[in-house]
Amino acid sequence: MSKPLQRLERLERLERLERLIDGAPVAGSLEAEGVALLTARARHESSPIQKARVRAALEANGAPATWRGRPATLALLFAAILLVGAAISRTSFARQWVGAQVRRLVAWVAPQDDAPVTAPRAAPANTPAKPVIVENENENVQAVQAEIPAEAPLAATPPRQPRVAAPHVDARAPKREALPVIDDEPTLVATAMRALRRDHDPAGAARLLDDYLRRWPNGALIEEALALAIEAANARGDARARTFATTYLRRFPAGRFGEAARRTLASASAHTP
Amino acid sequence: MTAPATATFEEIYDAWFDDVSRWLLALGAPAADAEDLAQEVFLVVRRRLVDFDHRNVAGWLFRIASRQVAAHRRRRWFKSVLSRRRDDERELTELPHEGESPAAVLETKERRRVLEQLLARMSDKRRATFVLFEVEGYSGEEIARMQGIPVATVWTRLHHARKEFFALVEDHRKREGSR
Repeated sequence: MSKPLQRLERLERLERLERLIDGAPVAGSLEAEGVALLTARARHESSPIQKARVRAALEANGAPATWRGRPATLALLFAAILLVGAAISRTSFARQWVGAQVRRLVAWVAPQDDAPVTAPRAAPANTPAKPVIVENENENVQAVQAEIPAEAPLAATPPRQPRVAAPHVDARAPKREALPVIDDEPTLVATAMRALRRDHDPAGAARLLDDYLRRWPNGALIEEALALAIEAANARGDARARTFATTYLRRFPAGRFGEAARRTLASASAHTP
Repeated sequence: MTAPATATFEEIYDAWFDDVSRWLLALGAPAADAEDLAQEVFLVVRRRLVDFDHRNVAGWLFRIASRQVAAHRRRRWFKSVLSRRRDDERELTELPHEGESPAAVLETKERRRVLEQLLARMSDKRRATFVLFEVEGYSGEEIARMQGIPVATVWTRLHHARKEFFALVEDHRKREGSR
């Protein structure tokens, strides 16, 4: 018999093949044991409830009920978390280190805040502070810079300028401490708010807010910073409260803190002889 | 030659959910995970339906199911490596049938456990063909269509799968006898 015919016959025989469980194996034979094992697993019939549950899950969120990320995704996620963590810790460490160095330098240059601070020999004494030029400056910026009388510049605020003796505004103010270097707007305003409301340190808050107004005169949090500056100045009995309030009302006539600004102005007018 | 009729996702889901569930088990997916896997299969179906030519729905679905089971196996291995979980966890879906005595239920469960162990030792292709034919009751033509292979290949695989299965049964019997 030729090979194709043999193959055809074999196929025909196989096509007549019955399922093992339909056969009648001899009891105790290997075949019987295999059939017994196969009959333990019945044809799977999924229940309508199961079907409905899967459909509901598909319609609800389109995602599997339990998150099972692929190994590669998991590994990538893990690596990303590690990288971000390392970057954060490194930045935090670097900031702390730089801050510590700056504070040390400030402490060396001005060890006693209460004592009159003299400018370095090379710098001309009592040089009037130049207005800080900020990118995208507009007339509001100029107005803020012009209207708000400058306090002593912050120790760690770049660019560094020679420290000059600042007028002592409030004798009750706590001893000035070296301020942390804060490079982003929200942190600076939040730190000022904590200093003012939690630590009851209006002088510290005022310094931070002055710093903010100088660095970000058109910042995203200028409204809040001005409101806090009014509050800090009021707490210290600082006459600049009126200036801050006027600036606030001019820039934010319908601002959220308008009422506080108006109260400050009214109070200042009442006390003005 | 006329273009094959297109089916919506709903139609495919209604018509093929039971089959997909069966295929998943035949491909070696644990019964406890079958529902989640069916969901994943139909997620892929919904996403890829626009690109499907609707010529061989069974074959297309079977390929998706095969890939999902393979991916599931890899994830399972990865998880077992991480958590050192034993892979032979018992399935919670094996509830006793009403009317069966506890001894019969226990015996059936034990047989099924042995069967799963033996099937797990077979190659993926042979096991799928074997289970689809012997347990799930699909014909050779149906299996050929869903696997995208000639019918002759199905019979060949089945022939070898049976030989392998009985060899495994014999091996099991010897090990049980030696205990």
